[in-house]
Amino acid sequence: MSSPAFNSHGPLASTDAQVTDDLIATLGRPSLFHKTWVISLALVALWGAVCYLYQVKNGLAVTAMNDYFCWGVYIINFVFFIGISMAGTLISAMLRLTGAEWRRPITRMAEGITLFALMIAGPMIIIDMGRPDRFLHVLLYGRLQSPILWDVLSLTTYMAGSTIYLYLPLIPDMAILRDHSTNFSPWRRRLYTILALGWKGSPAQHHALERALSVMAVVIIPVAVSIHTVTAWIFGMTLRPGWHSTIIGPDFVVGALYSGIAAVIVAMAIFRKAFHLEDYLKLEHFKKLGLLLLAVGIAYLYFTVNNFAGSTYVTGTEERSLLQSIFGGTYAIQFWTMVIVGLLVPCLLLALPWTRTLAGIVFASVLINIGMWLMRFIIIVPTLSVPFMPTPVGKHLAYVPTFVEWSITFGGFAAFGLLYTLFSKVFPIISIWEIIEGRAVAAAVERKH
Amino acid sequence: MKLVRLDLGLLAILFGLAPALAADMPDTSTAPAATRPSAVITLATKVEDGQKEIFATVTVNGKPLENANVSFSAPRTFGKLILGTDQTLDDGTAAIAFPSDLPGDAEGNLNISAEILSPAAYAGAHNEARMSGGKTRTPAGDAYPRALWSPNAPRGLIAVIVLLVAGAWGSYLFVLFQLRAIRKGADS
Repeated sequence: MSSPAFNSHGPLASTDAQVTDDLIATLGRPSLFHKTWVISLALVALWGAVCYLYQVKNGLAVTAMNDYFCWGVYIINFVFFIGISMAGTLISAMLRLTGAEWRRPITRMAEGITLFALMIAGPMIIIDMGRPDRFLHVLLYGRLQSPILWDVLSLTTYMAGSTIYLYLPLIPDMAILRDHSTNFSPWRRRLYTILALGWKGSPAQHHALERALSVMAVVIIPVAVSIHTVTAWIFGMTLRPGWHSTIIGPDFVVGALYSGIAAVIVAMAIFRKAFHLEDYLKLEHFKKLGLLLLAVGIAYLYFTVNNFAGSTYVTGTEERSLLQSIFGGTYAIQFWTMVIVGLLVPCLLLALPWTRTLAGIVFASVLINIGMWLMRFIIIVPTLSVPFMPTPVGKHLAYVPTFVEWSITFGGFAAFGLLYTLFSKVFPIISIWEIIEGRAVAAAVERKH
Repeated sequence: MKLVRLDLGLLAILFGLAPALAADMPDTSTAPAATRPSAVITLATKVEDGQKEIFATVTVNGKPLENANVSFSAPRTFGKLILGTDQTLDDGTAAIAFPSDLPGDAEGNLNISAEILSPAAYAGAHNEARMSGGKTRTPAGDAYPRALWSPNAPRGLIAVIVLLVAGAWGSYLFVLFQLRAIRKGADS
């Protein structure tokens, strides 16, 4: 709920026209830094694509994956990107449904993260395949009992839903941009006109949009939960130590919320700085999200302890070997880095009032994203190093990603950044009409008081 | 083999060695192919002395062919199962015992084939007939019908997945109708 004292909708003294101009200004001519940034991202993404073509030509032999490590860094990236895609759903849908007024400047950034993260996560599965041409077989000959097929169904449903959910609140903004068409090139004018769907802001159109938004806000939450749960089930519905756990589904959902909120905070900080949006993305927004992040972080800490506590107490041979490698063996550095960098330090930074500053919250969010990538590594790689298959005598199973795998990984991250950056230059990264609507709501509340 | 010979023949003609090569090749025909009478095989079953047998009657121009070697076989999934061979008598018949232990279709029908092995003039002539008397083959029962690990998904699982997917996509469809309403609102 908004309070009269907390104006989250832009500069107090400004008019709606000023707000519109401020936010349209973010779509203006890119600076030299912006151009350099886009070119750098494009080059890294292109290098990743070249490395992928090299991998397709030479096969998975160019990766560190083998008969024991059948999954590697690509699946880690897949789970990571699926995780941060949770951001859009949580911030936008949940806050919209609960009527949290402070959501208004954040929702589009969150929805964008969801869509672009999914656009990178999906291809990571295909990149992981030695024979990507056989992906179609999943659709043609897939078994309905297989969690892989559930994941494909869930991912496509989530992606379609996220696209719709991103587009719906864009419609009134497209009309605003269409009506400011003198500022834009012809192709942009044409794009905005098409996407505006002839929006005039009539009551009937508002009614239709509100109905569509309400339905999507309700539907997208279970769909999002399903994708994270089903992704977890791909691991959990095997008999591998470390994966076969009844709480792996909720554990993935909470982990996704944790990394998703952190990703939104990082994106907010970048856009705030790059587009000078200090009047719109205020410290209060970061603090509210920071507290939400803290709550989810504590929940994730609880799930992590829960996951390991049971198996530490009662273990089979394989489980014991896995835990030894995680707590004090080959993967101890990654695990304890994840615990300290991804969980303890961020939660501490977010919990203490004197570190819950803008810099502190953003720093904690960056640490969380690094930690959560490491957590995905801990989930996937150590388990595969404890196979049920006998290993050759004296062979030490270890997985160290190759140069090709790292190149494709960085390419994926660059492609995500590139898509997001280009999006923010074509579409307003803060919803103009929602900010204006929020100002009207805040003014009405003010008058009441 | 014929193809090899043909290739060698073509090469011989090309190099002017045809007469010499032709002298080395065995004569496998007694008459030109166009005028050579063809052998006809008819298949039937008969019970003699309580034993069911397969009879192949070989005729050439309506006359029984004697001393022809006939091979009996049954086509199986990965090739032909040879059931036996016999030489035709003066009435042109060759016979083997009916393989009553051989699995047939659901009604016990077997496809039986007879082929002439010699003399070379009629080798390769064959015929096939469908005969009853084999073992009936009932389709293997599904040990775990509609189980998670069977080829068919359990009906409950199908229902749940269809319901969830249809629910989500149905909602998207509803939203698309709302977008249509927005578009219509612009026109009105």
